[in-house]
This record gives sequence, structure tokens and C-alpha cells, in this order.
Amino acid sequence: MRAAVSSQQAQPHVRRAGLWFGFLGGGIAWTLHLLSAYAIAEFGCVGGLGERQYGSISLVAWLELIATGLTVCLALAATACAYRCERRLRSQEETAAVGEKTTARAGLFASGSFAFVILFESIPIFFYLRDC
Amino acid sequence: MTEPTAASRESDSSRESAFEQTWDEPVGFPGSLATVDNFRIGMRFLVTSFSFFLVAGVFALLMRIQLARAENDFLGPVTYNRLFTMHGTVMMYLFAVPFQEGLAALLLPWLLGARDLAYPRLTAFSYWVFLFSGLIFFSGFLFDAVADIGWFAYTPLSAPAFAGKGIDFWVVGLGAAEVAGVAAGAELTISVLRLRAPGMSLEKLPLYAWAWLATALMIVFAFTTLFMATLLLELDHDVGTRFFNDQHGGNHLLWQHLFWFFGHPEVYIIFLPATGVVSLIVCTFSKRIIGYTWIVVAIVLTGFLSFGLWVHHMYTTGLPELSLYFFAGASLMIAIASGVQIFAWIGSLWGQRPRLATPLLFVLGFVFIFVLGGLTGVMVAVVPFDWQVHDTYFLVAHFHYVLIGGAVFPMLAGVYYWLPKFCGRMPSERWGQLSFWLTFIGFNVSFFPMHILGLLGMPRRVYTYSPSLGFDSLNFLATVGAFVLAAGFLAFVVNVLYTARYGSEASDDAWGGDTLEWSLPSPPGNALYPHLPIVTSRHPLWEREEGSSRREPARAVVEALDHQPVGWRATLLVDAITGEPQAIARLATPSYMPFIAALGIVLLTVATIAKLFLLIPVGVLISAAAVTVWLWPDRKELERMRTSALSTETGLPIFTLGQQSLGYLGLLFLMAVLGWCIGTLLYTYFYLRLYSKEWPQGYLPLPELFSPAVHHGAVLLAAVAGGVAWAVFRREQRRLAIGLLAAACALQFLFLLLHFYELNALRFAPQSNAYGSVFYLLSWSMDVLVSIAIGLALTGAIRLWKEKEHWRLFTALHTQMAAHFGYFVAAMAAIIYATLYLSPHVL
Repeated sequence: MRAAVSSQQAQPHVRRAGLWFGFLGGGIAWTLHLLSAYAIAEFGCVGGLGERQYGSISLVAWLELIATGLTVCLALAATACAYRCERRLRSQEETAAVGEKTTARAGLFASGSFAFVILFESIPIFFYLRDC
Repeated sequence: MTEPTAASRESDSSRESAFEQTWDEPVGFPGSLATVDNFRIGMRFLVTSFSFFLVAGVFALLMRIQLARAENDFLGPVTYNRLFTMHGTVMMYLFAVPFQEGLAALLLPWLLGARDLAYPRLTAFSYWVFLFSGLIFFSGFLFDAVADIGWFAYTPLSAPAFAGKGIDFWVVGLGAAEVAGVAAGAELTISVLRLRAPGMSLEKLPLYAWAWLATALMIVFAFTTLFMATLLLELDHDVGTRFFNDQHGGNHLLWQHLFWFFGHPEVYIIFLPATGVVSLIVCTFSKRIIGYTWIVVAIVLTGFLSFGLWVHHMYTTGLPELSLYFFAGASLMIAIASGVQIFAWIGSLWGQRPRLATPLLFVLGFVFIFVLGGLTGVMVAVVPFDWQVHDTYFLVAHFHYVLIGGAVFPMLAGVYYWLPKFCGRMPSERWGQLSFWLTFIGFNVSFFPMHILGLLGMPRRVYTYSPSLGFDSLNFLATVGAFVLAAGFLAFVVNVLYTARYGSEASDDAWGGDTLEWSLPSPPGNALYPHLPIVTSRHPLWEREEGSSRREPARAVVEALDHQPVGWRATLLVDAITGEPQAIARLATPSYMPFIAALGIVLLTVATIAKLFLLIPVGVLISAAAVTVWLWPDRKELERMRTSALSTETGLPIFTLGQQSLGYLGLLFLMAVLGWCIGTLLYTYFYLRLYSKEWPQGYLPLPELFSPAVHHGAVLLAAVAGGVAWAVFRREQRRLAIGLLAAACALQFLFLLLHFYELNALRFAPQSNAYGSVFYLLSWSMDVLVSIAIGLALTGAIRLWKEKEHWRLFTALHTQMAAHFGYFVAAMAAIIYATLYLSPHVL
């Protein structure tokens, strides 16, 4: 039965999960960053976390910086993963590898861009270190 | 090479005619209700949505006449408000997205080298629901109940206390349109990812397909959010819930958050497919496209970033300042992603001396107008500037530059470009040029002055203005421009109708295009690609790689599928990244069920509008029964698939499981949509919680923990039973699998029973306050999920019980789907339990 319902799998040249992570990981990191940054600002400022200060910096700003740090790391990890996949695939000439190579290269650009976007969007935090 | 014998020729021709017969579509009026052909349905989408566009355009002209001079009395304020509401509503929901979806339904199988879309019946269903939703919107005119709350329907203006009768037509019509949109989104995503010609890896995917891949996913998430928002609004109206009622713990700003979480991606949902059209046209006329990978990256960036702009519309609502700037950053960044595509097109055309035929003229017009719209977009992304021009005509100018420039011009370009393929005739170049120049000049004369009007302070959404404000001359100019623009659209319609009847004959590849559709006859018949193409290049018609040994395995598959199968419809399912053949995918045949399911939805919506609430379950039952019949496998067809030699000849499976099965991929999408619905409700719950002094509101006692844990636990146990059923199925223990699926059903039914008693015993109602509203809605959502799980488990058990001979082949997918959906429902049960019962104790 298994034979009937199973199928041929193309031999992966790199791990498929790594390829997809490299391609979409930056975008996912950016999504997480935006949603968490928004949630911290909206819920934190309304809930009074902006008034609590640690080292002259409000708790809201600390949380925003932590969220930024974590998500930038995630986006950079995706970029690195895409870069590794692209390097491994660079020497391969098989037809199947061409699509994977492009996916890896697009992932390198996309995840790298998302890491930049997260950093760019986080600049305003430094103007709101003490209040909301 | 040996000459074919008479006998072999006869056998070839009988095989070809049998194949053609397999793809025959029913004829006549009754047959037109059952057709699932992508060309016919795509055409219907185009014609219907363009008709809606023309009507909404007439509304715009009436509004422009009213605004042509100060204190005009051509339209009263009531009529004006109704017209501007219907203009925006029709353009955004009934024209822009459905037109793009129709074009995609029509083009994508041609471009991808597939014989049809993944779920042909879903395409038909999507069209019928779209058509009926449009008719519901417009039927408000018959009952003097036209919505007058703007296309955005902000609460509290649209809340029960203020909105007129028209709101019901608006909300219900919109709900139906969203169902159609989500169905199309799921269909197109899976088709682009899995139904392609062999060898069409991601890097050879036409840019139009890339654009649709991103767009279709955006539609699924954006439209689902709006669907939930409209559901909450309708419940406020009909059930008396308090989601948007500030006096009872609700929050009117919640609507804006939910609406704009849909509303801003909507702009890119309209724009991205248009960029795909532009990329193909630019490539054909300049014989190259530069920066393919960068365009793909820009599409991905745009798809993601578009969801990060919703607060961009809420700068003046008093949100914490810090939160505004994250969205300002995203709004600025998306301009870079759009700019990458613009530079790639300009670079591709640069120095190529392309022929300035009508499609390319519209593309150039698009670039000019969209760049201006994009620049003003960057301006309004800047918070202080937006504070100055918010709700002025500057915004009206900006978004018309983006939407008409970014979408309508490419749509017209696309129609001119593919018209030879649609009808086998070339459009008139003279009429084409006339339509372009009228449209281009009329558009700019109409909308450019609005920038200045906005900067002078003219507010939007007003039916008149005082002569002392000095807005007269610019408004008059804008009105003149609007009529010139209308003349341009009229010239377009005349050209299309003229071409369809009298146009000169077109060759199959009318413009010398590079993509696969130009290899098809014009117009293509019902049976697309009897001989599936093998793709070896990004430009398959320009660069053919003959006799390459690298494609030998694919060639064997294609040879085996030449005019095959007969008696059931199939195409190739390929690996999403590499484009290597993975399985043979069965495609659905014509059926009346999509039409009947859509009629069920119409009954449901009409019952809601007429407040005949007892008819709502009848509508639900009709739709559910039609969907069940539609999905129930045809025994004869299964037998034909089983006895087919294709699996042996191609080495590919026909009966597939998991991600190689279209049915399973559809289930994954259903889970994503349902999960997103629950996610929207969880956001609603915590948003209301945030702005509430006490929680539960009304000083209600904290929810009990134990008994809800027991019945939510029953759902977890049901998931375990379903999982074990799938495991024993694989060990070929049929009877035990049936028993375990029945046990899963029983446990889920037990949940429904216990849940019913729990809700009945509560000391508050959905109408009590916003807490009660969101508590009940999340609870009812859980009931809906469990009911679907019961349906799937029951189907699996019944099919397994009835299918005694080939049960391993025919019922494996149903058992797997029942088990996996059970896991999903169990996860949702855990999340909902944690939110409703645990979180009030700790937050």
C-alpha cells in the first residue's frame, strides 16, 4: 500500500527546510518584529509600562530593543542560511539545482533586506527612550 | 523513421478525440451553470467585474458633476454619500480584485503549462459567489437601502446606533465577496506552487506567476481578517453584541485596526498582479527582462511589508506616537521594493527601441502615473506631513494615482496584450492609441488638480463647498478631466467589441511573446496542453533546448501523458522548487454543486438582510450538502484511476497523500484560514482586554477552570483517537481504524454537548458587554471547528466502512485528513481554553 501511495522524491541538494528558511525567514522575522513592536508600544504605553524606568530607559524601550535584537538575529540567521545554501549549490549544474540556487540567492537578498528593514524601523526607539 | 500505418493513425485520432471528449464542457444554459473551464469562468470574471467598473465609473461622473461648482445642488448630501460609498465599494471589492482574479484564473494554467487550475470547481464557486455578492450590493438600490458609510465603514458611523438599512446590504455583500476572494486565493496559490509544466522550476516561473503567488497568499490573510471584521459588525447589528460599542466595553477603533489590516494589503493585492502583467509585456516588447531575481525579491518584500502598513491609515487616531514610527518605517521601505521593479522595467526597455503598440503605451502610462502616486505615498508615510493632509483631497489624488495608475492601466494593457489570444483577432491600433491618450490625459487632468485642492485644505468626502474657498476652478478642471477619462474607457470598450467581431486575424503568437500561452491556439480549446510542454528556459518560446539529455525523465512522463488520461481529467503535479514531476493530479469535472453551494450562501445572506434568521440554517445546510456532494469521490472515476496504466508508464503515483495531494493541500489552506479567523478573534479579545478597566467586564466572576478543561480535554482525546486511527490504517487494520474514527466523532460530539450546557449556564450573554460578546464568539468558533472535525472523521469512517475492496487506495487520504484536522482542532482548543479560561486569572 505504501508503495502505491508514496511518490518519487527529487534528491535534495541541500536541506529543503534550510532553503525555505533562508527564503522566508527574514520576512517572518520582520513580521514578528513589527507585530511585537506594535504590541509592546500599544499595550505597554497604554498599560503604563512606559513609566517604569530601568537605567533611565523606559521598560517599553527596553522591550522594543530586545524584540529588535532577537528578530534581527533571526533575519541574519536566515540570511546566513541562504548564503550557505547558495554556496553549496554554486558548483552544481543539474537542472534541479538551478531552481534551488535561485531560491537560495533570492533568500539571501530578501532576508538580508528584511534585516536592514528591521534595523531601519527601529531607529525611532532611540527617540523615545524615556516615554511613549 | 517509419511511416505511421493507417491503423496507428486511426488509433491516434480516436485517442485524441477521446481526450477532447474528456475535457468537453457542458453546453447550453443549464450547462453554463456547471462549467468549470478556466477560460469561460475567467472571462465571466472579467466581463462581470468590468461591468461593475463601468457602473461605479458612472457614479464617479455624477459626483464630479456635483463638485464641478461650489454649492451645486445636482445631488443632495444623502445621494452623494450613497454614491461615494458605492463607488469605492464597487471599485475595490467588485472590480479591482475580481478582475485580477479572473485574469489569473484564465491565464495561469496557460502560462504554467497546466491543463487547468488546481480546484476547477472552486473557481466556479468563487465566480458564482462573487456575482451574487455584487447583486446583493446593488439590490440595496431597489429597497432604498444603499449604504452611505464610505467603503471603509468606520464605526461608530456604521454601528447600529447610526447606520441606516443600507449597512446590511454592504456588510453581507462584502462578506460574500470575501468568501469568493479567499477561495480564489487558495486556488491560485496551490496552482502556482504545484501545477506547472515539468522543468518549470521557481527560477523559470513567469513573473506574473510570482506576483500571483505573493498576491494569492496576501488575499487569504487580508480577506480573512476583513471577513471576521464584517462578521463582528454584523453581529453587533443583528445579535446585539458589543464589539464596537464603547459604552459597553467595546472599542470603535478596533474596527479600524481590523479593516486596515485588510485595507492596506488590498492596495498591493491590486498592484502586484498588475506588475506581473507589466513584466510580461515589457519582456515581450523589449525582448528581455533585467533583474529577474531582484524583481522576485521585490515581490516577496512587498507582500510582507504590505501587512506592516495598516497603522499608516490611523496616524490621526491618537495611538502612542512610538507605534506610529514603526509603520512609517515600513511605509518608506515599501517604496524601495516598488522602485526596484520600476528600475528593472525601465532598464529592460532602455536602448531596445521597442514598438510602441497599445499594450506598451499603457505600460508606459502606468510607469509615469504610478511613480507620481508612489512619490506622494512616500510623502504621506511621513507622520507630520500626513497630519497636515489627512482627510483632504491630497489623499484622494494619491490613492487614485496609485490605484488607477498602478492597476487600471496595466489591466487595460493586459487586455490589449492578450486579446489576440482570447479571440484570435488583433485589436485596432488606431482605437487603441485613441483610448490610451484619452485615458492618460483625462486621468491627469482629473486627478492632478486634486493634489493642489488637498494642499489648499479641501476636505474629502464632502458633497459641496463654499464659493469663498477658491476651490471652483480646480474642481471644474477635475470634472472635465473625468469626462475625458470616461471617453477613454468608452474607446477601450468599443475597441474590444470591434476586435472580437471584426478584428484582423491574429497568429498564435501575436506579439512574439516568450511565455507558454503563446504556443496555444487562439483561442485555446477546452483541452489545454494535450501534449504537456517541457520547460528548459525562463523564456520557453525563445530559447528551446532540443534533445537535452537532462530532460529525459521528464520527456518519458510527458510522452506517457500525451492525450492521456481518458475518462478522467489530470495534469502533472510538480515539486514546488525544482519543477520536477512528483505525481499525477486528478482534476475535477463539471458540476452543478458549486452553483448550488453559492445559492445556499445567497439564501443565508438574504435571510440575514431580511432578518429571517430561521432561514440561515437552511442556507448553511444547502451549502454544506452541496459541498459534500461536490467533494464526494466518484466511484467510477476512482476505478478508472486505479486501472489506469499511467502510474506504471510514468513512474508517478496517482493516489497521493500529504503535500503531494491536492486535497490535502486544500485542507492545509482551510486550516490556515480557520487559524487566521481564530487569530483575529484572539487579537480582538486582547485588544478589548487592554482598554478595559476590569476583566471580565461588568464585575463578573472569573471563569471556572475545571469543567471547561474536561470538555476541551475531550477534543484532545478525539485528536489522539484520530491519530491512532491513521496509524492503524497504515498497519492495514481497517476495522480498528473505523472504530477509532467513530470514537473521535463521539468524543467531539461529547464536547459539543458539554459546551452547550456550559454556555447555557453562564450568567452573562453575548449582549451583556464586549467581554460577553468575544467570549461567546470564540466559544461558537470552537463549536464550528469541532463540527468540521466531526464531518471529516465521519466521512473517513463511512468511506472506510463502505469501501471493502480497494480501501487502502481509495480512503487513505480521507483518514489522513481526518487525523490531521483533529490535531489542528486540538491545538485551537488548547489556545482558546488558555485565552478564555486561564488568561483572566493571570492578566
